[in-house]
Amino acid sequence: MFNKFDYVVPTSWADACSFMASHPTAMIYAGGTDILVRCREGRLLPSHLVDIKGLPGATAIAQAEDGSIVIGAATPLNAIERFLKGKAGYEALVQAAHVVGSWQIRNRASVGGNICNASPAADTAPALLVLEATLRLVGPSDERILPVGEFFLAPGKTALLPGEILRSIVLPAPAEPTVSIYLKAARTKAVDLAQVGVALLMLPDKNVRVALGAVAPVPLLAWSGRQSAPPANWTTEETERLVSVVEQMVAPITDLRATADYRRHMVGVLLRRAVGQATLLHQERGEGR
Amino acid sequence: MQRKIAFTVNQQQVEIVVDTFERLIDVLRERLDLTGTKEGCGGGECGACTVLLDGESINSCLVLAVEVDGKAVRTVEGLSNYLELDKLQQAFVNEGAIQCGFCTPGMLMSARALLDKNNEPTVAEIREAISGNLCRCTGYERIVVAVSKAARPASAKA
Amino acid sequence: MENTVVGKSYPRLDGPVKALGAAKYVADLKMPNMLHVKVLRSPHPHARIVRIDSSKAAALPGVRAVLSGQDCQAMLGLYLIDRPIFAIDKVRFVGEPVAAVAATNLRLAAQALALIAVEYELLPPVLDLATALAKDAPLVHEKLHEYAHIHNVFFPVPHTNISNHSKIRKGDVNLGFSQSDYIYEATYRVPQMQHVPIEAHGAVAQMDMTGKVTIWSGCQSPNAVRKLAAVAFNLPEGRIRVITPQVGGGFGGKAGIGIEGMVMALAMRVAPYPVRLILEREEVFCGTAVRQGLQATIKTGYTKEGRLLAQEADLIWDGGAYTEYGVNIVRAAAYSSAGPYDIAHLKTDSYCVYTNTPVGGPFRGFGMGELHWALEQQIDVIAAKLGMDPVAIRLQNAARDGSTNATGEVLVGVGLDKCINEAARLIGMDSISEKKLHHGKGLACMVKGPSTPGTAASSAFIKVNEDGSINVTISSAEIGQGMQTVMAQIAAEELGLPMEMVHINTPDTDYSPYEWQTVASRITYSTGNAVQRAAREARGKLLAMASEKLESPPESLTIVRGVIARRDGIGPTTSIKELALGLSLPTGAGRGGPVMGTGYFIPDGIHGMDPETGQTPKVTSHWTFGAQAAEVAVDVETGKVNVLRVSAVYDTGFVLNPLLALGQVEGGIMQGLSVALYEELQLSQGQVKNPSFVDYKIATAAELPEMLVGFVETPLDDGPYGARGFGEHTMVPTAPAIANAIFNAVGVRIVDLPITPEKVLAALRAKPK
Repeated sequence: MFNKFDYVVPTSWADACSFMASHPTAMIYAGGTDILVRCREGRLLPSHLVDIKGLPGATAIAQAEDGSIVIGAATPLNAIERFLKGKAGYEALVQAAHVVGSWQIRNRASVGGNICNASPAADTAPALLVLEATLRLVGPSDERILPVGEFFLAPGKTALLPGEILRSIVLPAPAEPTVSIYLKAARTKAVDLAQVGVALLMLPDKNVRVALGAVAPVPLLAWSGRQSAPPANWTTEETERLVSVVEQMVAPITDLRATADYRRHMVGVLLRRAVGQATLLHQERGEGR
Repeated sequence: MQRKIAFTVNQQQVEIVVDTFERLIDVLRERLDLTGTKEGCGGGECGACTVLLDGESINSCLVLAVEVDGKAVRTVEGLSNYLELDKLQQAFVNEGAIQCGFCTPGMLMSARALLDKNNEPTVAEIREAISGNLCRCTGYERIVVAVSKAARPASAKA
Repeated sequence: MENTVVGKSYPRLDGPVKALGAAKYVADLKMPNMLHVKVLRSPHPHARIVRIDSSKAAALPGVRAVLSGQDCQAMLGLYLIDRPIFAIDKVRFVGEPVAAVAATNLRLAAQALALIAVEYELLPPVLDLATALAKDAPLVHEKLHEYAHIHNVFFPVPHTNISNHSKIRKGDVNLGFSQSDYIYEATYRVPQMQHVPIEAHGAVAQMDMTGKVTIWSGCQSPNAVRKLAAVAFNLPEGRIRVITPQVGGGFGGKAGIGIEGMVMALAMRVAPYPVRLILEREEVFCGTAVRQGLQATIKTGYTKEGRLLAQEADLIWDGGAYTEYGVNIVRAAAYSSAGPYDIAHLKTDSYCVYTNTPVGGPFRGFGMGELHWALEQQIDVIAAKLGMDPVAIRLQNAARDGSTNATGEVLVGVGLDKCINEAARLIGMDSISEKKLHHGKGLACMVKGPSTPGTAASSAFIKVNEDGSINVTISSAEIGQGMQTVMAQIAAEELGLPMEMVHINTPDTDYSPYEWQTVASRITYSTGNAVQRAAREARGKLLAMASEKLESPPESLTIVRGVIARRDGIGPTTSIKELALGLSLPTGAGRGGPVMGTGYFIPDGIHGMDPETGQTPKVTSHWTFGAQAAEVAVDVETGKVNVLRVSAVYDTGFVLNPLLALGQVEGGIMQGLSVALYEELQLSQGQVKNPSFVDYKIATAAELPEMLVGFVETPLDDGPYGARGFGEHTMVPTAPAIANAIFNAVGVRIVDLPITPEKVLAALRAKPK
């Protein structure tokens, strides 16, 4: 049973923003898979749910002329997976979208909702971080572009200002041949929240990015920088250096899903595996060239 | 706060006034007496309430009734031709995919959604498609077999 | 004569109605002017109720009744009457019903709950076994010594937290240890768990203006609900009617009486309106019976050849806040404490301990899953210590014909060795040494009997319809196990009818005959016998009339697909249809009458146990043995266990329906796997921290291992066609088989369930290199 909220369908993004600005306890509503769970538990008592799914571009995903990909904030995860599957460089987001909840959930749950909840364990967040996604935020009077790395402030808290709405997510075109990987540790083999999530992206120019979920108060870009060797020629030492740097960044907690120790341990395990998979992919693609 | 909505359920037109905070599952079960759709957890975790919304499987406990205005809903009652089981339902019966039956409607709808898109799923694809539907009785194996058989009558040996 | 219906794979009779979405469960029932119930539950594990003020709630328009322990003093209990319907004077666990509201809609009922003011005075909680058993421990039940219970069967220890102490003293355990070459002792733990039927518990009740109460309940045992409600409300059973529609899974969680007491109390207050309570999933986790926790310390004496000589077992059960049902699990564990082995000297003390945690109760296996978690690892450890093969040590010690069990009963018809050999063959235990890195195989055995009172009875009634079909009427609940189909097969077999001519009902205590409970894997055995006898009685009546009509002695006749003819095929025929309403004579007169058959069954000769030694010639109706083996791969970096294959072989006496039997075994394996790897009620200060599927994980289809299932058929003398019960058994050895396979894979032993990756990693780190 939910509280007696009203349901609002705005006619434009501006309309939605002004409504949000004038109704402080209204909430943006897309897939509903998280918000309605929390309403049911009485943890959220919104006055209004503002359904943005019908707004222009809200559930659209398309490649722009410059090669970047624009994803409407309310786009369901399954649609994202379908669109990006097979597109080199975006593997991490495909993999992350694929491991959120169940098939039914992914038909509804949106990427915007996944990050706007600002859960430290959000699966798509580490993927978006390594892909250097930018967020198009629209407000009552203005709009701005924010790197996803600046979006998460604390558990449940984002950089959205009052009246501001996440409209779309832009993924820049990766240089070829970029490879990205998202690996998740969870209790069961399907339909579970992340104990740890690790996203890794390897650019052809020796640049590497690593982002982590569920090991800090917010999803974390733990490393972005140049390695001494190109991806296909990585040594174990290279990997271990990366692991030890990344491990320094984490501050996990113990909760129902895992102990802090286990989370810390799994960061290294998953990162090593991600490196293994990514270098293999790089080699395969290199050979195919 | 109420809204009048119009949608189809199992291809029948429905016009109904709903509360803005009313769930799709409650409209189906309480208002339309389509009690085949079950509630097992209310939190989108068990899949017993799975129905198809414009052909996509969703948890009807996590969809607002107002949202289905203008859309098409398909429930377990819409699988059969009145009393005549469809191929998937018949396979569930024949292969022992049903025990207590409470997860069955949701399980059927998840399987239907899969088969509508992919009429030759692998075992791994079937397992994944139904992994959002919890079953405590069967151990899932008979369900996977039933979905396989419903998909491929030609190679009915599998 | 060759069986024509039993032993064949018939799809379940209730399959189509369930596949159509047309099967009605309690939550699908709708009645005019139905009121809706919400329950106010205790936020404290242990507190005195100083004051309850529900006046504001009662005054809310649309609220028809508010009840609490102030208004309703009724007590419930199957074996020990210790559980109030609403907390009286004090609360004993987080989630205990304190009050309930019936209102015209759920939202109102929820609003009213918030208006009930309860003042508590906190008491020191008893949150674990050590606290409960400490000297001068706070008492969960101060008046335990006054509680009614079945004397000389259960042994509460007055002025303690021990609500039952069951003992086994067989042989001379000290002598056994002194004869042993080695002694090994270890402690194993099982946490509290939830049954997780996918259908939450629900009930509707209505009292009519004559005072008769009808309860529609998604329960396992309509007659037990009726009986326990009759005692609680001081009503004769005949004035209570319990109707059980389809039940969406039970696993023990809907046995005995649960929420029906609350619903009935409210219905009696608001007559003639029906009231309905459907639990939320969170309430199922916190407020309904859970699997009892166990701490088992096992000390085993054995020879250097691997023969088990003596065993001392301390079984300490966390029974939670109320143990009205749980005391019998504790007793069953005592008398089963030798497990599937022949051990000459035994000393077992099994204690049921009150704590301020969720109420313990029966859970598929009735204590055997917990007990065998300990016993089946213990023997595996001993095998490893001796460098013996885990299959060989089990075969060496396995109970066989002539062995005595823990109670001194001499066993007959034991097919355990065949189960072990076949389970081992299916998984390939012989190739155990050629394994891949971090892969391993393990085996575990089990035994279980139906732990029912000696008086647990079944009955069946068959009526023949004008079309020649029959109705089989019983009060066992169809909870998914396929009981209805098997009962129909038995009736069809005996009466020479095709399956489509057999109709079978869900229970209605006004119309269907008595059944003790749908528990204990006893329906095929006990109700099956009753149905067989009812069918034979109806057959006798039909053949008597046919004999007159066909002018041939009854013993010369047979019934095939409803047609009655001489066995030799000579002469005229008649049919069940023609004789359904009696015999029509050529004169135009009639004789006899509509054909009915009745049958009943009580197992023969069950004895009570000696209070001091537990020795008895026959403590339960029969025993069913089985074995399972698992193959796992352990990821030594993540600690995660991947169960690749599980084999399972049970001696079921006779397989009445291979398809449904396979379903039982596969379902049991998966529940066992889930319990092994994932399941635990995580309690903090007595509160369940994971009361939803978000954090109480059960296995999904993604976890499915390859399953290899076999059956052994050693007939049971008094089982229908030789059949034994085995529904619960199928999950009992899965967890220890997995644990043993993990040991084989990576050399670590996890003694506390569940086997989490954290525990595996910690054990790997602690392992001497």
